[in-house]
Amino acid sequence: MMETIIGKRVPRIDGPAKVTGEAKYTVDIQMPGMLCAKILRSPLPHARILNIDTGKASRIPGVKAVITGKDAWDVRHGFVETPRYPADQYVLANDRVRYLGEEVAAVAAVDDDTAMEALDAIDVSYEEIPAVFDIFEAMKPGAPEIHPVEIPDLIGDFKNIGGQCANSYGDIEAAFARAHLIRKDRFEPELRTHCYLEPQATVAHYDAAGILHVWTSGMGTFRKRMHLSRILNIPASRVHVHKSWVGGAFGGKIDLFSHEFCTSLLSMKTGKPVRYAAEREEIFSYFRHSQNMIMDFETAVDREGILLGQRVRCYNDCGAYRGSGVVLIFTTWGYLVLPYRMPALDYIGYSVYTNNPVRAPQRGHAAPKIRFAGETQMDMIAADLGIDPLTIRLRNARRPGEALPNGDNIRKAGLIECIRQAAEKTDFVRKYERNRALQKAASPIKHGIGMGASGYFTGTLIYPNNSAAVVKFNDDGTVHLLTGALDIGQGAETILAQIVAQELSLGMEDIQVVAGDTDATPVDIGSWISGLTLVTGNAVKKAAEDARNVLLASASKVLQAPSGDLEMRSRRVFIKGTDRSISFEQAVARHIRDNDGDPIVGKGYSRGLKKAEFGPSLKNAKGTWSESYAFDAQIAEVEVDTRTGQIKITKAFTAHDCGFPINPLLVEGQIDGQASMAAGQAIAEEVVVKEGVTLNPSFLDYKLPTVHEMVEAQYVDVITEAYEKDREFVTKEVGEGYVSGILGAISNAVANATGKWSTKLPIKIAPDKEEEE
Amino acid sequence: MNLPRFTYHSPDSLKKCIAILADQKNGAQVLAGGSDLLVRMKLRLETPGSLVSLADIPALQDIAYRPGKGLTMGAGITLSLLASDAIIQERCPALADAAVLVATNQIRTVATVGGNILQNTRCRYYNRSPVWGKAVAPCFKRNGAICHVVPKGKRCFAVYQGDLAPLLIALNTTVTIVSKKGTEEIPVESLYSGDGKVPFNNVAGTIATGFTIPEDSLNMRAAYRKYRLRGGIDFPLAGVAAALKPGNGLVEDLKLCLTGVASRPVTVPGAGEAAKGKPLSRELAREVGRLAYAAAHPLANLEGDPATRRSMIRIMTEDILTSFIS
Amino acid sequence: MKRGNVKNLEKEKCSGKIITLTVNGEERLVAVEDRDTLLDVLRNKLSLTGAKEGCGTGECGSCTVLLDGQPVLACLMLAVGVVGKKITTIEGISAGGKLSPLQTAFIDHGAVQCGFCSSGMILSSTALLSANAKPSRQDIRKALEGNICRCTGYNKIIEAIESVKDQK
Repeated sequence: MMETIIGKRVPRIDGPAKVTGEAKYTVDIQMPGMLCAKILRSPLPHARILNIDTGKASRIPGVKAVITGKDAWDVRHGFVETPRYPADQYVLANDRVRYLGEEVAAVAAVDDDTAMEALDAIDVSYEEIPAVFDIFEAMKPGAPEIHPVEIPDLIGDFKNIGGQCANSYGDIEAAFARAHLIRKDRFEPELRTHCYLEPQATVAHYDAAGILHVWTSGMGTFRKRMHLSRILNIPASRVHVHKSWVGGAFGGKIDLFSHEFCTSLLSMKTGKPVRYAAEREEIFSYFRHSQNMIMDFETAVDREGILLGQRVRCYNDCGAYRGSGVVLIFTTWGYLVLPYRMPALDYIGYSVYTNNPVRAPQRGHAAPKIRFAGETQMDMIAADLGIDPLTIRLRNARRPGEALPNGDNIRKAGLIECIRQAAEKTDFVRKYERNRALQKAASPIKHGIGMGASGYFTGTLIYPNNSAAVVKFNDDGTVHLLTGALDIGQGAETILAQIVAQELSLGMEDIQVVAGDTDATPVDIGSWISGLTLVTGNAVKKAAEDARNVLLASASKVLQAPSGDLEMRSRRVFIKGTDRSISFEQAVARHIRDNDGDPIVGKGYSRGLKKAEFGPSLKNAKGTWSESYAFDAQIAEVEVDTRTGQIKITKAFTAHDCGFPINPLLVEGQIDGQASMAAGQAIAEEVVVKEGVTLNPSFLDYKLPTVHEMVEAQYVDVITEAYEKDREFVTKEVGEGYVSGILGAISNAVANATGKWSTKLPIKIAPDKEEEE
Repeated sequence: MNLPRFTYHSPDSLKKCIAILADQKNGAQVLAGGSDLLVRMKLRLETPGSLVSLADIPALQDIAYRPGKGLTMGAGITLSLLASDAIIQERCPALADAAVLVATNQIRTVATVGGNILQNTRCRYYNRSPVWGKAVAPCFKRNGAICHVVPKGKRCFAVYQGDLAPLLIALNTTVTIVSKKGTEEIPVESLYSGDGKVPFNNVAGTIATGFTIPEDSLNMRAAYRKYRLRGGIDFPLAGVAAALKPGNGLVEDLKLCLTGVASRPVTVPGAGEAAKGKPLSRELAREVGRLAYAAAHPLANLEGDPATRRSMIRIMTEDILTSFIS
Repeated sequence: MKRGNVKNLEKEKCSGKIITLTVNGEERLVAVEDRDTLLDVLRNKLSLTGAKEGCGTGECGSCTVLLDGQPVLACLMLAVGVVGKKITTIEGISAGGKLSPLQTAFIDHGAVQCGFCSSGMILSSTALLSANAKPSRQDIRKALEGNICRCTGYNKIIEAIESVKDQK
């Protein structure tokens, strides 16, 4: 049997570049004559722009170009651009600004100082108009109008509704009528943010041939190219988005950003390379944070804790433009119904415009919020009924082969197995009961254990929908893999190279990866809808198989043995069971000679959803969403000092069904990072925004975890799928889903320790006050 | 992120240093480790015409213990050195322990004792860039006329968040100030004005060259506790230092000083009187904790809830005194 | 103190100087302004872009370099203030093209994801291990508390450092 490299803890191939400082991120790119770009932002949350005078700025020596909304009148973009939700955000503000920090003008100058001086010299006259920052205030009929929108099927008399997703099924009235228990709770997680360590940056160079070269901090070069081509009105083929290493993204770099447009246009105007690099405070204050959402849950269960039905209303503050809000209120529905059977549902999600900064997806995109709410309420119900958290989950968890309300099938879902294993491996029930018994004990130090479960989709249909790959043999018998995939830190290049190594029985060192370049590599879905390993991975597998079949055919001729009798190892093709062989090098040379110079180039491709024409409906959640769903059960252990109110998360245990891990080392890294992000969100992280102003725009003020807050992480893989020869594989996502269960688990663990539920995040426990009167 | 332009001086003696400071007309600032000043300069909160580095003045680098006189430390010694120096660890271990709690390893490598003591006050409405500032009316500390934290306030309430000052004050430490006029030694406490906007008394043209903890204080039991939301990086949201003089099983003297709760370090009034002549006990710890609580008035100008910060003052005070019981 | 090799370019108009910095064992002559930070000079004048600017205000640790073997934040050091000191950047850790044991451990243990913090993390850890060959978990935490990583949750970074510690 051939040695397999799938499933091995292969060190990442970009490791050497990253540990030596060699890896070039966008901001590291230096070009002769490069100009510096800066952006002027609105100091008001809501105002009409009466006039912009750039004359003085333009005359400053060293200033090479100044652009305003006049250079891009009515040019708009959106995370979603559909007939129901047309693009609503201007690349540069036209005659109105809708949030504090909205981009009003941009300059390119010879250096930073000159660019800053130019920004100060731009004179903008504003007329302030009333602004609204609170979600429920914004929905009132008398609220200031942020956009003149009309949702034709709007449920309720509300204003400023940017989007609505409504989905009902089953007999909800009957479900509530026969309920043994109905619980109503409101959940309010605070706004959190990505904190990718690499500040966003863009370098653009419009060359003499009229090609726009772009390097930018993104999550998929082909999606950026599509947006840039559209807003700059130049053919996609004349926009060349190059690969640069990306210093983390977590959802925060997928949208098109104004600075990408401005940097490009400034280069087109000056013919010079232009670089924009965001300051950290700018990112915290004006760039896209995660979403926030208020969730009202009304849940009906029977005596056994079996879910009968739910009425759920979600109110998302999408900020001044839609951003990803209208997707969020759909995915909220998705993660609401994914882990547990829900016979009847009445769901409405509203995405509401306010004058707050715009929002983007963040790792989990709705799942952390809705699972925090769902898992917390699940434990509340269990406590009300005197059932333990394990039992209530086992009674409700979806089983393999179940269909979701949208018709998708969860196939070999390992959720039940995840829940069982998580409980067993952490001694959950015993610890849970023990901690409960000690809630009233004298010691101020309380221990808690909590469980949460979640599921996540794996790729869907959003442009570019598909991935392709090319595997080409070199004369020396090694290969180059050409893939559009962009490694944003998760290790995309490494796992794709592993697949090639597996298919061609090569070593990792025999594979060179050319990635993420829109000119040099085939199209790729990108690193943002949790489908890269599934979609691009299968494209790469097919490309490698294609190359392998040609190589074996050539070897077969030389060795005079049928392909089926051949096997590959150590860069040679052998006749099975003999030592007769030829090297890859010889087989490649022979193929070229025998076929009029045709080299061996394998091609492969794959699509997100093979049978569907469209992705799911954002209006009513109908239609297929994904072919493959991941599941997990997670357990958190905490220590709470009730005297000081301090919470320490001591352990995060994850049992997960990712299909099978291609590279367990990288999978563990994803889980660690998600547990850490969840821990931060659970007890410390919150973006504090007051009337549009971010009050904690720094790593010092925004409390993301430091090494002191490291959570000890443990894992168990529940394997439900396999990697097989000549067959498409099914993997399940590992990069986003594990922020969610653990967040619910932490919330439940704190309740297990203290006896008190928290319906808000971050969880805050006031110090003991009895001495102070 | 660039710095505003300035002229750099690095005199090799105190005398030259004083002369340069006196000579500069466009505003000169003393540069020690730079971890406080350079950040404020990057944010354009300060734009001095000159920076006068203390790095090359050997006189600021001494640590010495002299029987009878006490422990002296040059203002230029780094916090890393303060934490690891054998003399400090022997004579005043609480100070070494407090130094390790400051900021981060990289910052402790360059930040100095003098710089920490003279660290500027902070506020979530102040420590921001000019771009951020355009959206928010200028507060007192940004040379405006309002306070966003205390809307009816007539002054700036920015918070002093130094970690070392409360301990040095509790230990009755003096600071040596050198200026053109000469040398004087004053209590550390008297450096602070209590005004958030201009938190120090008469520092222009002067240099704090060193600190002396008197012999008597070195025999006291001392400790510093810090409340923050993370295990590293963060400034104290509340901090308590205590120095206690035991005698015949009773408390002879007790001094408590707080940080992170006002525009200056706050010495807790009545703590010494309450404790004097009493045996150290949990009851006393609680009583003194309540006094500390009463003396602390944190405002919503930092991250973290003011009520929690205030409660933490009481709890940490109790904890320190309880830890002294053994 | 060595300041002899600092000379003013143009006394009246600006505060530019030519200074010699000792970077990764080599003496490098650079023209700087007084206000230039060490990070500006390393990245923009010496093309040593391994040190990153994640915040510019001393909070993230991405710009960590070693100054006479001690970790400092290059974004808060004046270039004119480090003349005469030995500066080590990430580019100087694998001299001769051979990765240090720590660099190898970071790769093998999955301590690198996006890589933006890696230079600073490795330099902080290098300084720690050269001062303390057998650091405790708490020693490691104290040494890395100024280096923020958002990808790894720190678990595998600590594993990597502990693996090198155990080899010694």
